[in-house]
Amino acid sequence: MNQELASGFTIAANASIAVALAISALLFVIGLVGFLCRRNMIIMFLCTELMFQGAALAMIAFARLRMDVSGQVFVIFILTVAAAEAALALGLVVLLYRKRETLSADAWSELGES
Amino acid sequence: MIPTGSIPQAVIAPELSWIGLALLLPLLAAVGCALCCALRVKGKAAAILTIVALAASFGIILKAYSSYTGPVQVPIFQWLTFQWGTGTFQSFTANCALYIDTLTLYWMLFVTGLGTLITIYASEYMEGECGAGYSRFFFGICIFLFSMGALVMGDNLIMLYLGWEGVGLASYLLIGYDYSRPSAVAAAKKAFIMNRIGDLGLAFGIFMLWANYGTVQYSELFAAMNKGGQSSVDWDVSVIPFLLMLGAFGKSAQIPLFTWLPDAMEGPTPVSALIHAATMVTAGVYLIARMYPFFELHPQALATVAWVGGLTALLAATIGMAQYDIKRVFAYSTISQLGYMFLGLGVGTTFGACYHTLTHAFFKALLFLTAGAIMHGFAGQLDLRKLSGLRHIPGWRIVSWTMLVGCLWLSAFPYTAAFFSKDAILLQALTSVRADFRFLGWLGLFTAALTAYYTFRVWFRVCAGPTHFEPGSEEHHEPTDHHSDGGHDAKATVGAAKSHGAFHPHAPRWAINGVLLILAVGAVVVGVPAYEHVFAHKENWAQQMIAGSSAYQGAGLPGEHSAEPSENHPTVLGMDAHTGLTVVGCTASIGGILIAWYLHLHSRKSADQLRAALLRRWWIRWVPICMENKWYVDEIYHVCFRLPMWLGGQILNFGDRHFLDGVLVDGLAKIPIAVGKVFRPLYGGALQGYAVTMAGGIALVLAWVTWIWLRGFN
Amino acid sequence: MVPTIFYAACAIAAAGLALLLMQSVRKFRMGASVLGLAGIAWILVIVVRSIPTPTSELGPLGAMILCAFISVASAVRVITHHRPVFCALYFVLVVVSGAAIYVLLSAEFVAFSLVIVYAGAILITYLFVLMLAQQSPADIGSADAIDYDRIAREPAGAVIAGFVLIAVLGGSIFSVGESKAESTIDQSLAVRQGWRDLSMMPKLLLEQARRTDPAVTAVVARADGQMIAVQSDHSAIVSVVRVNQTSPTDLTLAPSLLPDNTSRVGMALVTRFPVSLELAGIILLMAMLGAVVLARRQTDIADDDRRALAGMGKVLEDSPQRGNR
Repeated sequence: MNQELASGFTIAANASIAVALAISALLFVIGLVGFLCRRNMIIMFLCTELMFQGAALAMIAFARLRMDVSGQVFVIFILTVAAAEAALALGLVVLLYRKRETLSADAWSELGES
Repeated sequence: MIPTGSIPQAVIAPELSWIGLALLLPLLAAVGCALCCALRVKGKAAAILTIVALAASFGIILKAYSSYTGPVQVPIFQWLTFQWGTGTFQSFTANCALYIDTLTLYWMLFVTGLGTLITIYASEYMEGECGAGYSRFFFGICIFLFSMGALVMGDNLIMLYLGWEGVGLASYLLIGYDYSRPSAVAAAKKAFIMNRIGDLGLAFGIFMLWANYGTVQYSELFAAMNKGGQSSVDWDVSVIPFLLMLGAFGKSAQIPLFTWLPDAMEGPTPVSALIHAATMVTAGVYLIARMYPFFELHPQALATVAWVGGLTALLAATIGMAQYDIKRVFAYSTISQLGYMFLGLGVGTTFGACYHTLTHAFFKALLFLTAGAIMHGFAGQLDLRKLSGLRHIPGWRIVSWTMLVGCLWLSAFPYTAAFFSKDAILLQALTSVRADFRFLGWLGLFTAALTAYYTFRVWFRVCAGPTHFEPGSEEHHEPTDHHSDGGHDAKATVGAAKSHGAFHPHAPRWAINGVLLILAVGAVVVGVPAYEHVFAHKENWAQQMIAGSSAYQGAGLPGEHSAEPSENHPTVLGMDAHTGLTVVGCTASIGGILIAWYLHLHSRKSADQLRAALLRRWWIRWVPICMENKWYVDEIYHVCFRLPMWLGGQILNFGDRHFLDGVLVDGLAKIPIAVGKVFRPLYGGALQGYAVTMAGGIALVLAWVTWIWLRGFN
Repeated sequence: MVPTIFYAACAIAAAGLALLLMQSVRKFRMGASVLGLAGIAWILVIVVRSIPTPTSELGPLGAMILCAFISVASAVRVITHHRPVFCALYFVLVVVSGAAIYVLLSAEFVAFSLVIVYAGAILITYLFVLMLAQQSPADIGSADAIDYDRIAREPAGAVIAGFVLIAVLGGSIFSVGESKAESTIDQSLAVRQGWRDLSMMPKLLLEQARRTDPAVTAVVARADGQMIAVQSDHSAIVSVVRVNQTSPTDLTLAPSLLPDNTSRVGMALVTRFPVSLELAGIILLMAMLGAVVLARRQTDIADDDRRALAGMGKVLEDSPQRGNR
């Protein structure tokens, strides 16, 4: 009977979804660690994209678990926001690069006391 | 005008609202003077405006007097009207309305009349200030007369209080008229603050009146008193007269609040004459006369007034004997005479007190104005040791002789108006059934002798004797205070005229002389009712005026006197009371004048010898020293009140600076600073530092939440 | 007991990642990689073992685990590589393997839009900006890369913070969910949802009906007002009017005629989230405008010229000194 169903309605194991969730968590955390560790501003934004990836993967996994397409729709919105963020963030990075001729985030620490 | 045994009830008469112009005109003149001030008018426009307005309000009062038929209440406009229920104590009414009875008219007649005359005098006296403070001065005068009008004519105690504070303000402004002089500023502050102490009593008195009677309008208060007042005299009722009394003592410079008045002589002399001698300081007398029925709520209230008055009279007279500044002598004589008025009120003759107020207003204004003329002419010289024989200098005759009139009246020379008014007070005291009142009467007689002495001490020194004078150091007046260096007064003025040969005293012109003459005539004229009473056996006009008002109970009508049983007729020294008092009074007055003549005209050296003799003897030495140092009252107040307050202020200041500021404010601020120091490394300024903090925080919160969650499941 | 093991696995993975990030232990890179991969493998084993899997599903599960390894390993390379361009390229790999996982989770439309938008557009933009801003290693004379790309800052703290997060989340989920987990999903709800979606697409419904029976001319509402009645065997019955017939008759649609993923996503977008769709458009427009404004080259104006533009006079060179005197 499984063959008769269109894709999206096949029976899936919960284990697959669990693995997907684990990957999403790992991607998010790796993105976070990268954001905290890397000094290159462009890489830092790349790491936020990595975190977006983790969040989107969790959305897809839960959409699968609930058999509801809303999760997938939200991933589309995440794509939208990520695109907008990339456009603005890269514009800002270019602007900052023009000011200091470096991509290091450490060059911008005037808010600190020392 | 026949007393009916109760306070006459006022009728509401809105058609008489034109009397309100007597209030409005000074106010408009004040606005005009303020405009002159703002526009820096160089001329005398402000003075002319003020004189016209005051003369017009005097005319209005005269017209009101001539058309007077009985007490009226004249509504002008609604001012304060609150109602929060229908009961007695659930509404509050204090409208801008006038209460016109004979007492009001009596007071307003001499307030506006003297105000007009003194303003005319001031228009010449102050001419040196033209373009500088001239308009400001007359603005103060206008404010004063408006406030005095509100005080006297107001229909309720709130208006009285408004006027009371208004005259206090005017007094403050005018004492501190020459604000560049620190002593004037200090005197103005002293007068203002001491008056505030009294005003606190008045304010609480008004509160208590409302709390007990539910109204502050005279007509309703008097109606309540006519019905028998408060039958049960609780403390909250009997405290009313004492509270009102405190206000009166403050305004009228009685013990314990009298020390501001001598200092108030820092103001220009017309101000001293008008405000601090003739009118404002009598507001206390007016208050007690107006609220007289309430002073009978407590048996000892009037006795307190009498004692305070009698002691003030004596104390001020003794200080006045030892002062060398003419204006200060007159200031202490004012306090002393006000003491007589309070004595009269206290022993139960409102007529005597009010009549003395009237006569005193004239002769004291006259005396101050002559002193002002001398000061004006001699470049601020007021030391009676440095002036002599003024009556021989051409142009100073009018001043000298009018001053003599004033001095005679002040010393209650027989058959002057003041003689009769003082006589009425002392007679009532001496014939009282109370022994302490009789004692106060004898004290008053002794004080009268002292008064005659120190009054003529001034006249004999300044106006009589050989002519020589020493001009003051400054072009504008600066009262000197020489009580500590009295040892050299004999040689001080020898040859002074020669050494200041270039100095020519400029004699007063028509305005000053004219006003002095009018006042001298007025001082005679105010005696007319008494002459009529004594010689023509007609009813005393002043007595009628007082008896027709709320002060009727102390007015002492002759009809009531004659109704007394003859066997109880009191006597003085075995004689009939009137005769005996006349004899004793004449003796006291003439005796005082003779002593003054001997010590200060006949042989001026003997005065110094007497002083030296007194100072040599240890058992009597304290008397002249204390008198010259004003009995150290200021110093005692300084130690008893100012010093503790200063100490308290220092302590509070210390507490504020070190506890409130140091511990509470700064200490509290140190907590977030310390917390911030702990967490500062988390926000090092680098971008990722913030991100690490954020991620770590989220991890911590999540760990905590999960821990709780897991614990809940197991 | 599972959380303790899970925490241990997380700690091993974290240690591997931290070692990889630390510049000072670069020579142990191989060992660190092995350590990290072992930790991740252990995590995945724990996750898979916590839920029993039917044998028929082992194939897709294996594919999923393969993709997972590629994805996580690429992600680690993104944050550890010293050359930004390579980071971006590794990120493409993450995106592609993520898309594969999406497909395995039967989200085909999103998978392909992910590849198109992320790998095709966003990452290309990143590459462009990197090329624009990055000095080449030759410029700075370094053999490898510039310092701020080579040296990570506070790797230990960051890794601890991150893996505390994952340990906490994963530990709680996989320890509590164990007893309640079921091996398979009840998809009857999804099937009903799918048939309902189809009933809201009349054109597609008619097409599907014709595919079953070419004689159908129209699909009409059933007696109870619904268009479709779902059967227990996932098939559905609709009322249709056939050629030369006046009254409607029933027609059974096979489950294979359910709408596919793309149709359902589109349907959800326009019926359930229209406002969000509009807002997404607005966000994109605003981002475009913002990027244009930000990227405009700002010309440097000298102080004097700036003052002149503001209508102020020129500042004399020596005025501060003059003021001091």
